Amino acid sequence: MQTSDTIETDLKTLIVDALALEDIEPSDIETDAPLFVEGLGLDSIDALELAVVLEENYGVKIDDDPERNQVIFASVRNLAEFVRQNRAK
Amino acid sequence: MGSVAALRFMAWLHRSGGRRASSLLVRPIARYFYWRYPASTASTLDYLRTLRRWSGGAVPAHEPEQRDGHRHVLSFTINTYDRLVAWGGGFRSFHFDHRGSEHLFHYAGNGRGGIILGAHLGSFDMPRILAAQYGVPLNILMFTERAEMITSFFERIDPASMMRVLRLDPSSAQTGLAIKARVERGEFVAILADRIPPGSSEQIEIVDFLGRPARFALSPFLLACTLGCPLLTSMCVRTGDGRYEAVVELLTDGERVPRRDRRPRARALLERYVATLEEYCRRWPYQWFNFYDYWEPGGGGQLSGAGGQESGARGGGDSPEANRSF
Repeated sequence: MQTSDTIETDLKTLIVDALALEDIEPSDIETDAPLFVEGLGLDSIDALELAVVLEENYGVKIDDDPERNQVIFASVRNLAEFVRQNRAK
Repeated sequence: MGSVAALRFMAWLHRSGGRRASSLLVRPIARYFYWRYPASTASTLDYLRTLRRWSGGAVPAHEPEQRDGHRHVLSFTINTYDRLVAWGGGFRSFHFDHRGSEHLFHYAGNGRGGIILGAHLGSFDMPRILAAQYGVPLNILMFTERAEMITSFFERIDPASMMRVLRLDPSSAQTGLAIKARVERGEFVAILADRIPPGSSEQIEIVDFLGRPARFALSPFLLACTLGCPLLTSMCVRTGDGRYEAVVELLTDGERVPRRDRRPRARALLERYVATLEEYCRRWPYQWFNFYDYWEPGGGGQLSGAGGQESGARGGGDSPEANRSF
């Protein structure tokens, strides 16, 4: 079984690949830093892209509960926690 | 909210007094609008001249002058009046012709949701009402805090309406997720794609519209390419007294486009949307309802010697006319 730390590393790679972030290495992303707006500066389409890729890769389901999504997408750590609890593959 | 009472009154007047009573109201209102908002007056003449030049002098068939601007504003006023009457319960007094609605029924029947693009052209309320009539789950995307007010407004008029207003902040990362969830539930999300939401950090593309560069948001097209969902246009034009034609066209059946190809693909879809707008303007020149400086300033092709109408008009979506839509 993967540990949460591994998932976090995988997620960073996934984010950089899926969003084709230039000049950013997976290791540059801080586990606790915010992803959107002030952090990596990801926008609405990026969030959508990330959600689609997460669903494809981990079989999780991301719904439209704004408060829950606020928590899930707050940082890589929260994303990893969400994946760990909800993954189907 | 007093406007609901006003609305019911207008619907009542329409039912009891008919078109004669309504025209008594509509003409003075149009006249008032025309003189009250000089920037809008200038913008309609700018639009008509641009259209005339783009169409090689065919539409309008003569050099636009004051009375044509007047006709344009009157057309807007009649349209607004009809919308109010329709929402006030007078929907059945209108006759609707349909074209292309089978696309919508096809997807709705298969439980497949999609994105529907409208414009401030013709009566953009009518498709919502039609959707409610036929049980097509339709969400209207709105980018203002007024969306809250609008929802309660519609709910009061028609509590059974299947139409929902999505309140979204264009700068929020959640916008895409909210749309995704609804489309995946087999619902439709309608976006008026001819204006850029105020205060947004949208990806903007400049596309020639009627031969002059104008700004459009790429996001609705990127959304469709990212989700791989059907993308349709829906316009509803007034074809006569109490008569409307609702036309649905399919832009793409929807496939997920890989990220590297997405921008050019979205741009191509945007260009097709703009071409659709142009054809509507050619066919229904007085039903384009963006009464502000629509085109890029200094973007080339600007009409010189058009009466200096550029000076008083404001760009962007903050002119009084631009904000008057529901």
